[in-house]
Amino acid sequence: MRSRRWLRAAVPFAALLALITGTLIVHAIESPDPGDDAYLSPVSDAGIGSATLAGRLRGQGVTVTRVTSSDDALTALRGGSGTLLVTTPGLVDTDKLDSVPAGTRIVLVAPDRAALTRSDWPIAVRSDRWAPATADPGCADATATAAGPAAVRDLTYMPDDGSCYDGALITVASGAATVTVVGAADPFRNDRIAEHGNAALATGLLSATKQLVWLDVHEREKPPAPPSRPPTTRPTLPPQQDGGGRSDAGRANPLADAFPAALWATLALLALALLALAGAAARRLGTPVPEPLPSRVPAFETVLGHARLYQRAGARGESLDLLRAAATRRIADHLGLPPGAGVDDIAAATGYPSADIYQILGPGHPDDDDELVAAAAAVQALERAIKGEQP
Amino acid sequence: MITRRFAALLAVGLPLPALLPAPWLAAGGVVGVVVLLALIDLAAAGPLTGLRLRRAGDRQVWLGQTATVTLTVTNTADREVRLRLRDSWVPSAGATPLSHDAVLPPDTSHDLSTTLVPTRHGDRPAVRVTLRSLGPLGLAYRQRRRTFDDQLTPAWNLRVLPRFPSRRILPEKLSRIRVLDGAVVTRGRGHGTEFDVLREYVIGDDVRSIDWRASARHHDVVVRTWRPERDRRVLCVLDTGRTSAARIGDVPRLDAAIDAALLLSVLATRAGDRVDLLGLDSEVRVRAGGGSHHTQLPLVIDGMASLQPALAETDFSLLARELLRRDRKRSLVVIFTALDIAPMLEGLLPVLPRLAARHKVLVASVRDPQLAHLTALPPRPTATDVHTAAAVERVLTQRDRLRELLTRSGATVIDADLPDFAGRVSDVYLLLKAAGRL
Repeated sequence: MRSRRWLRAAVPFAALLALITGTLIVHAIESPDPGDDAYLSPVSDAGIGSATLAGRLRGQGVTVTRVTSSDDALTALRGGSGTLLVTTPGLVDTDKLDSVPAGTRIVLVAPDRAALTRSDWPIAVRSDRWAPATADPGCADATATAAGPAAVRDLTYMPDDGSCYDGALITVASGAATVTVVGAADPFRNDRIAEHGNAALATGLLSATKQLVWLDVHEREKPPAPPSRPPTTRPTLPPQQDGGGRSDAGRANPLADAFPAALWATLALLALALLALAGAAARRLGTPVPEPLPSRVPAFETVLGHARLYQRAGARGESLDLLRAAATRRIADHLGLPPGAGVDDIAAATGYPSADIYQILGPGHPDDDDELVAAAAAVQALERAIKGEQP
Repeated sequence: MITRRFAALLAVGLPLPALLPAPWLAAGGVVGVVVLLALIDLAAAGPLTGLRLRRAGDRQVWLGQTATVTLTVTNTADREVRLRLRDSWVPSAGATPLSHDAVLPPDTSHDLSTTLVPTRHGDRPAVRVTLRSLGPLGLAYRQRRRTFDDQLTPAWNLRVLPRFPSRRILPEKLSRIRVLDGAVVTRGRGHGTEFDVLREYVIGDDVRSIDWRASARHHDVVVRTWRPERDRRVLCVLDTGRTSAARIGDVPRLDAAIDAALLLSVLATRAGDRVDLLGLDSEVRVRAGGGSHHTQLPLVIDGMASLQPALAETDFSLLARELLRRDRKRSLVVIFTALDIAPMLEGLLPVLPRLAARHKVLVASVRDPQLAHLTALPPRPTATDVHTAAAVERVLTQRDRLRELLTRSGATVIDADLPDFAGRVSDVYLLLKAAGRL
């Protein structure tokens, strides 16, 4: 019995938990993994690859150079103004990309908070969504306007001015380079490029220059050996949280010195006294004794329950029939009529008009509660009148 | 274990760390001294193993009256014991005081009396005596595990006899029995069946009751007179199943049945009948009665006191079996139960014809006075009142039908409201007795 009750409380929560867990697992499986070799790779024909986009760009006369490390990317860009596409900003050491040549366009595909924090571009994540959504450009950017609605709204960014697609596409100038962030990977993927204005947006973003360096990294890049000089402070970022406490750990707590030892000793003694008091109160002089209690249920409980069921079901006809049948039986009993006497017998015995009696005791169902109450009151009044009782 | 005095002593030492030059040393000193004192106290506390407990006092009390049970504690050890003791009873036994204190020198006894004012009838057992031996300083005490106390506790059970509210109508019923016994000597055969006395014939007597042999001896016409039977049998059957647990007013239905059965038992005993008691639900809970006229009533009352409603369906085939097991003499079987249609249809009705063939069966049920109130609509009725009245009418109609069915199966049905239920049951008994139909 007790275990059943426990189950009753636990099952809805367990079902909810299973639903949430299942959804999270399915979402994790369905969302593409940047660690996958095919992810936005210009040489992959898989659904999450980007061979289609690379082919279209080549068709427009853009030279696509695929590189697999940020150092190679910097080498490839040295030739002059070009576009650098970073498909996996989370895995690339974005700090290094600051040293690109002047006039370089950098396009980042869905960089997360960590990737943006590592770089010093004045961009921050504003919000993120469960799945990419389509958005209208809503800005004056030529590429976006030409492309129209596209499925880019997954991560959105700050600052708001100069942003397209509700903040999903932002272009900012950082030093000599221009940095563009795109909120979702969908416009670049083989299986999604054909939807909405995805293709136009992706090719528009990447075909601005004749040279495109495609940084195709699928493993986390090793950070360079730590330099001997202290790390440069970054004015745009808040200081790291974990540095503060560690340096103070060796020092004594100043609070300890602020009060005399006598206070601490007294407090310790007080704590001990209170503990002793709790211990003394904890041991009982005998455990409580259980008592088998009698039932508290009144005998007419089921009757009231039945009445509530009638009311909830709106069984006005049934209720009234019961009252009429009982009244008829009692009246017949009172008048000395044989059991089973009907309305006509009662009318004959009492001298009341048969039609009146028939209206009160005969069939006929009320339509609403007011009629029901009136009919029941009439039945009771008739019975009292015939029996000569005072109400 | 330590007492609150231990904590208080530590608190007394609180100013010392502030007043003395070495605060931590002072604090440690306070703790050390108090702990040392407590250890000495614990060692000096008398042993609990030498204590012996014994109980004496009331074993039976009427509900509403006060009983006293004395607990005698004897110290057989050779050290003094400062005892604090709690005599635990079930809460409904109403035991006071909560704890007793006593100082017991070696080889002495001490009487501790517990006053009990029970709040319910039935068996009220003493559960446990918890012992605690305090040290002379009152800083620490010895108390053993619960199993130790359980072993030492002497068992005791106080049987609380049920309240008997219909006692007030008892004198009236008894006077009617006296009338039945003396004044109304039935004339002729057919009424009484027991021979009473011979008396002279007066005109109007049944000529068939003339005793010719006695008339020859007396030189006069003498008739035999008859009186109501004595030594009839009355069997009170109390249904303690689930329907008896529901409350009528403020008490379970079973309590009303017990009250009526008590009145009937007292009347029947005074009228010279034999009373037996059977309490049953899914099994037979109590079987009481028998013995002589003087001992049967206490036995029956004692049996009734032990009855409690059980949450089980009543098995009336047990009743049939029980009656077959007894002797074959005709008796009045009074079944105290509830006229609920479903349990009756499945339980009592199938066995009733067999019972009624040999015995006079009376089915007695308390009606809830609340139901009668609910049938009448209030001055300004709402739809809820109408539906409630309809539901009540439905139950009452079912009950009437059930009563008809039971009557057709050979039982006499008593369905009365709570205040005069007991009176109605004994009236029917007196009526049957007067008519000689027992």
